[in-house]
Amino acid sequence: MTVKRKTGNPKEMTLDLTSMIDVVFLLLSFFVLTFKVTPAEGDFNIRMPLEIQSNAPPSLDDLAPVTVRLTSDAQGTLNGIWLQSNPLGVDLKGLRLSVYNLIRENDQISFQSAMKGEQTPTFNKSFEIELDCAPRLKYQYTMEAITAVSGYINEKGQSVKLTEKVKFKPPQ
Amino acid sequence: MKLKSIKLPPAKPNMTSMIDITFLLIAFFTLMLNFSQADQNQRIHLPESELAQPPEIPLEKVLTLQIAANEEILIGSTVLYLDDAQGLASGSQNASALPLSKTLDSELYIYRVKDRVDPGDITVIIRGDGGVSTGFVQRVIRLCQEKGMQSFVLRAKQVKF
Repeated sequence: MTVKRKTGNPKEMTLDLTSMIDVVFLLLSFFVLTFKVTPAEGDFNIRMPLEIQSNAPPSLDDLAPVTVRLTSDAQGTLNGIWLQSNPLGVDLKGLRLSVYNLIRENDQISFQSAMKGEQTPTFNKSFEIELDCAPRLKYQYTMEAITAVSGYINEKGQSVKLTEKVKFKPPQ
Repeated sequence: MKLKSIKLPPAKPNMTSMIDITFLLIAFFTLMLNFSQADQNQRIHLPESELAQPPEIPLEKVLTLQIAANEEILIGSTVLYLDDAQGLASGSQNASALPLSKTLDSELYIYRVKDRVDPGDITVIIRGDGGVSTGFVQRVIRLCQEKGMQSFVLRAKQVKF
């Protein structure tokens, strides 16, 4: 038996892509319309168990936390910072500098030198900060203060942590 | 003069490259779709911080509390109030508002029964608006402490300086 071979150009096969393109464009427009660039978020970790009233004297290992007091006016604007009993005005950079001087273990490295990123001092890890905030104070100022006592970013863009132990003073 | 009508063959534009680009765009948008944004409420304007770092390992067993500038607390889309005084005030605005204390109890019950997780092992993420009073945030934290939670995360918007 002989097989007949078709000679000449075969008919061009065409696929109807119209509906697929419709769906693809619908999907694309959905994604474009719902796309939202959200800013990156970061965290400050705070470990704060409920303080149990105890009559037992504190152990020598328990260092008393350093208190940072933040006061506000009636509108909730920051109007005073105290580190222990030292007034610092409303200068959060001054607060960072004071905390740096309090907790660095080697006195030779100045804050200016540390900010340039030339040297990084070691810090006392057991240092704890207790924030005593005015109830009306806007939360953004509290977070700015937490940022100031938590560390700094030097001129080389490196993040240096001063202390991770930050807690709130229990509300009165 | 008689004009000759010329029959043109049907136009067949080559769609291949356009479809390629379209599929690439769809792939891009699909990959960029972030489901973790479900926790982010657009009413909350987080305070900014250059030192806030995203967690190195994803947090497990979390409870996200969002606090709006008008002292409204949200877990997911549920509106909550802190105490009876606030509940009475918010009741006139939002009849479906629930007390935070009872909602925390039911959330913790689910964690305890379903996942066998102790309240002390749950991390509370506080997404507070920059305009809310610190005293209110502290009261919310205090209530969580009374329920046995110990780990808190204060969330801030990352900014580069």
